[in-house]
Amino acid sequence: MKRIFYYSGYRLTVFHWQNNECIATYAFNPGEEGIDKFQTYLKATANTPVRILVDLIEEDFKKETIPHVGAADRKAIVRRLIKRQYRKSKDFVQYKVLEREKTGRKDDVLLYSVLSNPEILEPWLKPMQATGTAISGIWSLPLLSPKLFKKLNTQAKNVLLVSQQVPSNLRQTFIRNGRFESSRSAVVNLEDAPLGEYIANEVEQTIRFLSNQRHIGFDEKIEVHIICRQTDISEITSRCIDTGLRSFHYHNITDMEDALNCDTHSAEYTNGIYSYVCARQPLSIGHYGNRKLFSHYYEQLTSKALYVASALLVLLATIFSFSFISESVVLDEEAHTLYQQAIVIDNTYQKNLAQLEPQLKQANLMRSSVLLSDNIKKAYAISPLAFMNRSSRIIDTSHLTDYEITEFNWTLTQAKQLSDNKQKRKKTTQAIDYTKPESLNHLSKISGFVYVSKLGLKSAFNKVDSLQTAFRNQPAVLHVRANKLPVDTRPDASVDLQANTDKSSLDDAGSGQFEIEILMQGNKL
Amino acid sequence: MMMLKSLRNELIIFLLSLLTAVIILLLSHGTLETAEANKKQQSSNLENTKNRYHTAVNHKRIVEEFNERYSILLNNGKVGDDNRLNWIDSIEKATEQFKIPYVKYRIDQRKQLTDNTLTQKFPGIDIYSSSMQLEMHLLHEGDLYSLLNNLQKNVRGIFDVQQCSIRKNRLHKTSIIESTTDKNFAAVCTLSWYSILPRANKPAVKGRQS
Repeated sequence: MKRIFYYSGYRLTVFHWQNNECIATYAFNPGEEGIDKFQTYLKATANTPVRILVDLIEEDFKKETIPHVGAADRKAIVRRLIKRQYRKSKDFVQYKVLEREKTGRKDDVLLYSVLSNPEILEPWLKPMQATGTAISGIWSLPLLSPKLFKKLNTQAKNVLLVSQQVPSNLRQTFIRNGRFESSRSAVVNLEDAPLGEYIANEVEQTIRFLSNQRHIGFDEKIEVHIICRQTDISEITSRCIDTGLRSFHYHNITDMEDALNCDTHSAEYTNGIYSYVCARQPLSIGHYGNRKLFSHYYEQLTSKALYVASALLVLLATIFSFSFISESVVLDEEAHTLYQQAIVIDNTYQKNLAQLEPQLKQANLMRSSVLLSDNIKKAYAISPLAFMNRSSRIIDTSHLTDYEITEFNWTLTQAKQLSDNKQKRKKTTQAIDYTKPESLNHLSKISGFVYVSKLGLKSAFNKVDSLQTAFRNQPAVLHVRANKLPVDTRPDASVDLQANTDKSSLDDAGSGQFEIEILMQGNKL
Repeated sequence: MMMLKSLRNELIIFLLSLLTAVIILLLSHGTLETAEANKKQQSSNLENTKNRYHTAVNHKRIVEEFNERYSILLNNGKVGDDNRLNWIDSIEKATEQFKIPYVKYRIDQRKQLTDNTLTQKFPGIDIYSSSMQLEMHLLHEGDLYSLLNNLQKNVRGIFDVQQCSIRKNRLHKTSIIESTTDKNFAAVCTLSWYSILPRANKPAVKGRQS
């Protein structure tokens, strides 16, 4: 339920809106009795938030031109303006920048509305404060008029909306291009003239006022929309005559209710309709008032927020806890399944394998011992004797003669290249790495001499060369290199010889020396 | 302050709700954590049980495959601690059998082979190597072959030949057949003797002759 307190400056009318239906109205007259009744009403009813809708003669609407400044500075300017003209009204001001001038200093055109005598609200605000009534805001009825204008279905540029909220007041609001421009409230005195004539006169005065205030030009056309009771339409029509510059349109209250889709339960005046418009405002941010005035509303909001937050906290905690506990149950079930599986496997182990455990512990020892000893045995096949046998066969099949082998050096190696002559040979007693799958190779140096005294140096050289070639032609031989030759003809070697006609005087063991280094492939491990 | 005073009840309820929510969440989350830890524990337990079972099955297969050959190696002394006395005895016997005129030998201190690749590829064993230098005078180079072959067949141990050099001694006669000496060749060989021991059985670093 939404409560709207409509105040016309004299009487306070309370509207209770339940969705689109006005379910109750109460009117409180000024004076001690009325205030007491109002206080009793406030105490008797639930403290649902209240929206105050003011429709006062003491509400001024003015346009001002101020320099184009930021929001904070603009607020300060408006505050200064209000302080100068309306000392008591600093909390009852509403302003809006309408446009910016296109020429000159390009100032902002500001429209502000102000309650010139806010003290008029005091008698009603006091009991509300005393009872802790939650006031959510104070709305200005004229400023809400554009909302009603949208339901008039008119495309006119200038519209004067005339309505009577209470029998004693007539409100005329000027709307230009769908935007609020100005408003005027007049006291209705039906003793001087009938309603129709009164409205016609007031409309003329208002249009003159608007022209003088330059809201419209003197020759501009204006549509006058009058919202009134069905019974008054014929009387008003007879007095308000259409001319070239103005046309009158009439809307009875029931039609407006239909257009707004609300039910005021046959209210005689339009205050019910406006209270509905006020109730439909989506945000509880009114036009007037200060924070202190709305403190109970803020308290109420905070209280509700705290209750909601408390409920949400407990609810969320419960939901999360439920989720955690459900997950725990699932996990416990999974853990139990895993435990059962482990038991089954363990039972199988105990039944079939546990008694073999001492023996099984030696599995790695057995395998490693067997595999390693196999590898070492394979290496044994790559021996100096095997190399000598193969070398002897190579030399025999080459039919080489007139030489003698004096020394034979053999090393088991995993090298794939002959080491550099200039490099110092590594100690060859290093153990073979039996984890590596490289070939085990024979590395051998065969030293000896050629019978140079018989063959001469050139033939001796050729003999050693033939020996190298014989080895090189073997597929198993990876590399062959002559380290020493009877005559070293390589460019990087020096030769120091004495030519001699008698070959037999040459020393075979000295002059015919040679050394061949061979790297021969062994077996894969 | 006034507002806080008027909202005292709401604030108390809010704080109580907050406290309740925190307690509920802590308790339920504690339960969840316990359940998670329990499941993790059971999962780990199952994994360990499976691993133990599969390892045992695998070990059983290995034992079935290698047990016989291992037993032979063990009985032949190819696996186990050094039996240096047997090596010496075997060399002495072979020298006598093949009538090798001169054999001098030296066995170095045993060293553990600590290469990572080796220990990874051959798990469960410690491998030690002892280097042996053999210096011989030979009538014929075939004697070297006979000696090494004899050692390989009869000795309680396993070795490889790392290096060998054979030098022909200078003779007065051109033919070995006509030679009057039995020291036609001088040979120097380096052998590596390997000891394969169970990993737990850690011998002293210094070589131990048995």
